[in-house]
This record gives sequence, structure tokens and C-alpha cells, in this order.
Amino acid sequence: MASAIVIENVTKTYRMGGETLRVLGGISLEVAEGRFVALMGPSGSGKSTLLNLIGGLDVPDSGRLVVGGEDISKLSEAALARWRAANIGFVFQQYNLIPVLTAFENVELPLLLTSLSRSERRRRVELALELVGLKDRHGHLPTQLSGGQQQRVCIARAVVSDPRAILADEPTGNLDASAARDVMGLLKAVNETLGKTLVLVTHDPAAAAFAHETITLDKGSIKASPHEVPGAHP
Amino acid sequence: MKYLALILKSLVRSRRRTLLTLSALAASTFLLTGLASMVRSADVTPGVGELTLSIGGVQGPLPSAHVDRIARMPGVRAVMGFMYAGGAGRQESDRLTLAGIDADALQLIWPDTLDIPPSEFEPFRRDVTGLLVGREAAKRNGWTIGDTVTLAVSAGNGSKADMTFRVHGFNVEGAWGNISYIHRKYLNESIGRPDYANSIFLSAQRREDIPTLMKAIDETFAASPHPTRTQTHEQSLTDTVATMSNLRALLGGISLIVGIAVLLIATNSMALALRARAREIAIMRTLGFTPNRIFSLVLGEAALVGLAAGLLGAAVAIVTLQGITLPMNPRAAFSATPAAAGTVIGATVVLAVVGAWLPAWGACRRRAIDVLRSLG
Repeated sequence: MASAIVIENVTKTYRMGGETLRVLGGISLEVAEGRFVALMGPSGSGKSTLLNLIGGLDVPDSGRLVVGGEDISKLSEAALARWRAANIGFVFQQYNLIPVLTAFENVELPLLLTSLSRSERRRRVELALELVGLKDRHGHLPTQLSGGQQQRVCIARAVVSDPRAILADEPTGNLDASAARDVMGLLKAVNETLGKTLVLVTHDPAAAAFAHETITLDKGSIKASPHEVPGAHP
Repeated sequence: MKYLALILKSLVRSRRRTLLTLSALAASTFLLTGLASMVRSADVTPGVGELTLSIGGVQGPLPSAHVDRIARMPGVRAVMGFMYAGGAGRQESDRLTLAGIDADALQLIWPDTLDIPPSEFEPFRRDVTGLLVGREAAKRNGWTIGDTVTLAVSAGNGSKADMTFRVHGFNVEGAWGNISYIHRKYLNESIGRPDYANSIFLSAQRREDIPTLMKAIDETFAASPHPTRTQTHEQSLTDTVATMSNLRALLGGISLIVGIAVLLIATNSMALALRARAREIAIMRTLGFTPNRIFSLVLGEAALVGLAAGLLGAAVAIVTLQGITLPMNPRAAFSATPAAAGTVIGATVVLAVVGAWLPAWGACRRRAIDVLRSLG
């Protein structure tokens, strides 16, 4: 199976005050196309930083980062933005929906960057909302939706532009157990039915259990090699 | 067009802020439209005949006796006393500029600026209560020939009187068209100052008589309690132009200050709006919106506010600023014109965009990951 994500000896440091903080220290990793990988580890282990690098929101200090066949480690800010629009869908812990836009408009947002016609955009948004079970809530503002529903809108927005990979950063962090299970089931379905490569950052072993494999990070390094999650398809 | 809905949604997120910004910009646009129209009207200088001299009092108004004496001087073709007054129409706010003139001499003095048909001028000349009403005043009040109108008239020194006139025609000539002509004699008698004129105009018989006449007039009255200062058309024009230049400079200065205010309002408003939307901009960046795309959207938003405010302010100006008389040049009335409004609307849009430039640039250049991390 082809590699969706190839990370070679990637390092990342931040300057905080006068100090240099080494967040990732030469990580190498491969994620095959269509796989669902969970990144786990304690706070400050570098898992969110790694996710941001994979999503092109940040750039590594050194090393090589190939996502969807494109080396993104040297792309400019604008080129990264265009690449993200075509290749990556994000799901955030805080949902990060635009409060003044309805569910429909939030999902449509990434499609505004494409050359799709209005009717085609409408068709795709309706499909995405149907996929997450919120077609009847398309006119609702985020404040009129529950946390679980907002996260489902966020998932619809992540898949609507048909990206190669979906990156989810603690998507269940703000949800109760029941809603978290629903959201993880939905992400799992997106991975399986749409064949999207999915990278999940989580502290929650129950959420990680939905992934094909789990990678544990600690202090900027991979602590445990990728391993199959037993019973990964609950 | 597909981004228009997004821009509009961004504008209505904080209705109060948008409304306040819009109102402030619209008020500025109203002011700028008025100022621009005033500047344009200041460019209009009514001409007077080549043989015309104007005589002003060195210390104030001149007695009517001067008119009679000047009329007897050799080389004088016609002479006319001139008296300004203000008149209020149906409402106190409906102001008219009245020029009390000597009708027999009027068309001899200003043959090149008055084009009132004889069918209107002759009845006016014969009727001491006659009124040749200015085009703006006639339009505002709906007056037609044959109407009888009563005006509250006030002249200098607080003299006031209610005067009744009969409309015999209309003064529609160029920049003079704001003036309503009445008989000076009737005006002076009504306000209780029978023997005064603000200034005197005369028409010489020949061009070569002018230097002698000027000297003779000023020398004749030099020792009197009311000495005169006689000017040629060119001198009078030079004074008018100088006054208008000062006026234009003043109006230009005020316009510049208002323009700077518009710029600062736009900058401040956009800076506040963008600070409140930092997370949303970061989210859009994660979705693939480039910094330039977001920058364009923000500037589009500023342009839309500028356009809406410009249209509103200019529309109000066009409706309300009609036939306003300049205090420094009562002959030239100004009205807010579509041409001035168009210029000001364009300027408001540009200023709104320029004002939004810096905050938009700063907001769009911040890395999405830094914003999301700092906001949690």
C-alpha cells in the first residue's frame, strides 16, 4: 500500500522567552494510504506539533515531510494554504466553526476556494451533512447546535472538499462519553467508507481504540513503535 | 460574488459596531459632499460688464445721495444703488437672498449677466413691490408668476420688516440665479433705512472714461462722512478671486481633516473587528484560505462599508443641501451636486480601504497555528 504520509528525521524547536525548546527531535514515520493512526502521549510530548506539521500549519526546522506525494517541508505560506485546501481536512477539539455562518455555510467554506459551481457546491454540502446526520440542521448556527452536533459539522467540513487525509486534534476532548463515541464512530466511518487517511491526536485510550494503530510520543520522540490496536473496530 | 455572502455575514456579526462605523463614515461623507460642492461653487464668479465700476463704502454703507451725485457726473451712463437683505419664506429655515436694486439701471449695469425676458422684467420694473424670484427659491416654494408672497425681511443693523411682493418673473441666470431681485427703494422704506446702499454700481459711457471717473468719484467723497473706494471690473474680480481662493483653501483644509478622520475611523473599526475575529481568520487559514485571499476579503468588507456610507451620506447631502448661500459670497449659492457626491463616494471607499489596509495586513500575516495556540 502506498504511503500517504512520510516523515523523515523531522525536528522542531520553539523559542520561549530566552530558551529554545526542542519539541520534536528527529522523528521518522510512515502512514499508509487509508490507515487510521492515533497519536498518543502526555502533554508536551509533541503530538499536536507533529499533527500541525503534517497539516502544513507549521514547518519543520529540518527533515523531510511528504504528504500525499508532495514534499511540503519547503513550501511557502501561500503554497501551503493552497495545498491544505486540496489535501487536508481538519477536525479540532474546539470545533472552530465560524459563529455567524450556518451549518451549511460552514461546510461550504472550503468549497469557496474551488471552481465548483454553486449548484455543485450545494450538492456536496448536502451530501456531507447527510453523511454526518445533520441534513435537517443545515440552517442552524453553531450556537443552536450541541457540542456533538458542532463536531459533526466540523467533520462534514473536513470531508466536503474530498481531501486525501483528515487530521483530528482531540476531537472528543470537549464531548461527553456518548457524544464522543458517536463522533469517533463517524470518523471511523469516514476512514472506512471514504478511504480517507486519518491521523488522530488523543489522550483518550477509548478514542485511540478506533484507530488501526497507535503511535506513542514522549518528549518529542516516538516512544513506542506503531502497533496494531487490538480490537480496533469496535 | 461567491464571497459576497461571507463579507456580508462578517459585517453583520457586530451590528452595533458596523452601524456606528457606517454612521460615522456617512456623516463624514455628508460633510465632504457639502464641502466639495462648496468648493465647486466658489469657482463660479459672476461676470460684470467691461464698463462697470463698483463703489463700496470705506466705512460701511453709502447714502443714497451718493447715487444721485454720481449719476450727474460726466461719462456715467447708468448708476444703481445695491442693497442686500435676507428674506424668510414659509418657514424660518427657508432663506432667500434678496438684492435691492434700482430696476431702471439694472440691465444697463449688468447687460452680460442678466437674461430676464422683457415680459417678466417690464412688469417688475413698473411695480415697486415686484419680485424676480431666484430659481432655487421659486422651486422650493412653488411660486409662479402672479403669486403674492410675504417675506420676513432683515437687513444689516438688525432692521426687519414683513414685506409683501408680487412675483413677476424668475432670475435663472448662472450663479446669480440664487438671488431674488426686489426694488431697493421699497426695501429701504420698509426696513426704515431709506437712504442707504451697501454698494453702488455704475456703467461708464466709454472705456476711456473709466480712470477719470474712478478718480473723480473717490475724490468727490474723500472729505465726506462716507468716503468711497471705486474698483474696476478686474479689481473687483481680483478681490473676489482672492476671497474665493482663501475660501477654497479653508474648505480644502477642512476636507483634509475630515478625510483623515475617515481614515482613522476605518482603521480603528477594522482593527477592533479583526481582533475579535482572530480565531475565525486562523480557522479560514487552516481551511486553505491564503493570507492574500483573506486580505482581499477584509478590504472588500471595508470597501463595502465605505460604499454604503458614501451612498448614504451623499444621498442625504443631495437632498438637504440645496440652494445654500455662501456667507462670504452671497451671489454664489451652492447645492450638493451628483458630481461632487460621486467624487466623495469614491474617496470614501478609497479611504475606508486604505484605513483597513494596515490592520488587515497584520491580521492576515499572523500564522494560524500561533493564533489558535494563543487563544486555546
